[in-house]
Amino acid sequence: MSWLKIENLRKTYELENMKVNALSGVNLEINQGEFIVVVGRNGSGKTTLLNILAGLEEQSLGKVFFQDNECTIENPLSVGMVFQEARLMPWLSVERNLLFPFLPDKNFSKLHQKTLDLVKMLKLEGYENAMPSQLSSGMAQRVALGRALSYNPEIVLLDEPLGALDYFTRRTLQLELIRIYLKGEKTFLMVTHDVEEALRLATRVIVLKNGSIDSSIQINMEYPRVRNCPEFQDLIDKVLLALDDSEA
Amino acid sequence: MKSIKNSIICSGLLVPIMIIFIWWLGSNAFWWNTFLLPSPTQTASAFFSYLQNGELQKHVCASLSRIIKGFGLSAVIALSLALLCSQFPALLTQIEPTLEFFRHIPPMSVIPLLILWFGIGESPKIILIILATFFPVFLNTLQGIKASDSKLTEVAKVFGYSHWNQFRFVVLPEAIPSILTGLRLGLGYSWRALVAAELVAAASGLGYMILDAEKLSRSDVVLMGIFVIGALGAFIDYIFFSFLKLSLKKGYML
Ligand SMILES: Nc1ncnc2c1ncn2[C@@H]1O[C@H](COP(=O)(O)OP(=O)(O)O)[C@@H](O)[C@H]1O
Ligand SMILES: [Mg+2]
Repeated sequence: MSWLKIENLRKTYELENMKVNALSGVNLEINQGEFIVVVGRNGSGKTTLLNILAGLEEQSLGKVFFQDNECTIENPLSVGMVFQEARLMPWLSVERNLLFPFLPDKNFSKLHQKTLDLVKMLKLEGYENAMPSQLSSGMAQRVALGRALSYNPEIVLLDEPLGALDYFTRRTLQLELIRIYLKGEKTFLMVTHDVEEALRLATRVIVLKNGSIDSSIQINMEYPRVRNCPEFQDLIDKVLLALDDSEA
Repeated sequence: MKSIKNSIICSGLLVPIMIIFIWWLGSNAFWWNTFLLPSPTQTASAFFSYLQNGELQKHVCASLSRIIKGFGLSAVIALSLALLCSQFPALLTQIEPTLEFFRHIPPMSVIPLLILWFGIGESPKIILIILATFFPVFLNTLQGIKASDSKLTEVAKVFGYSHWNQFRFVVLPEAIPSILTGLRLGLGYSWRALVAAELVAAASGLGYMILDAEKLSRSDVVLMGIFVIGALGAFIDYIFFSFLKLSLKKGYML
């Protein structure tokens, strides 16, 4: 039995005069507590994979099982998702954005305690009542991450969450992600096209190529990982090799 | 002293104060005939004498009740129709050409028909306000809902929001700025339409008061009526939107 199992997942987009195979048979098993990072070129199907897991799109073929139960529209996988853009609700304060998953609940106003922990974990102290327009992009992305965590999902999906940030903010948030991951409470499935970022964060790197999995590379290095050691360099070469046939 | 000066400048009172000052100066120096443009003191005394004999209150109440009924009714109709059209595009396709036809008819042009059908009672005025305010509310609401960002609805979907909750907690709050613009325009138009109607056919209301004063050659009362309409309009706008924004904040919409 596996925790989360993705079986022969296919997605075909029908355009006017052609078919695009965004995913052509993805098979993947994820264990609880893993930090999986999927790398792939633009158009390799990364976003499509996450969108199907999040229930935003429907697969053309294939199945997803969570603890041996098939995930369907009626019985969806419980996910929290962070997109490349923060996608905060501009009319809600930071606190309300953090609790956005619970906004329709009747006892929403009693959830205040929950934000205190999140605000602390994401270093957003003092910004509880700020509006999204007042936040830097890095800060906004922290709130988006907090929103996904507050939902307490089975798995956190991240679609190039740091892709739009500047180098320094990205480095800081990578460390934050590691810190949150090391609390050991959550399983992460992240997508990026930054190989170095993948290797800094992942316990396992999945290389996605033309809509299917090319290779799966276990990373056993300690956190925080430094780039200038032979092991890290070897892994970079290995992933780059898998990504790019022409250099093989 | 300095703080009073600053607060006058900041609150935008500088322009009105200057206008009143020039008006006062010009009247006292006889730059113009004060029968054509009465002085501030004449206008103020007209205000107080109408206040004292209760005429002003009577006309204000008559106009205000028409605004509340007409604009209230119009807002309810326009908002519900816009919500329905946003959910059922087929409905919009059916009624769009008809609405487009009515949109171009100046409400004032139907006054003769309304008088013919309803006399000079309350209904023609209320109908006129509805005609004048329906479109700004309807079109702005519809446009606000249509412009909703699907990326934000996706977020709600991920967190298991039902279709209704996606609408209630994402699409509608996103549309609120346009809806407020529509309501604000509509409220302004309703005063124009009302006073026009009261000028043509009425026995009460601020428009009637102005017309009556014209017949008596009381230009001070005409001027006073104009001021009352402007001030009352701004006041109602302020009260209505402060209250609306407060309740929207409570409902997580603003
Ligand atoms: N809604 C869509 N309609 C048609 N084609 C799509 C759609 N979404 C994605 N695709 C195509 O599917 C492929 C995979 O896209 P995507 O999953 O977004 O890739 P990635 O996130 O890895 O860049 C691309 O070729 C893309 O053009
Ligand atoms: Mg993508």
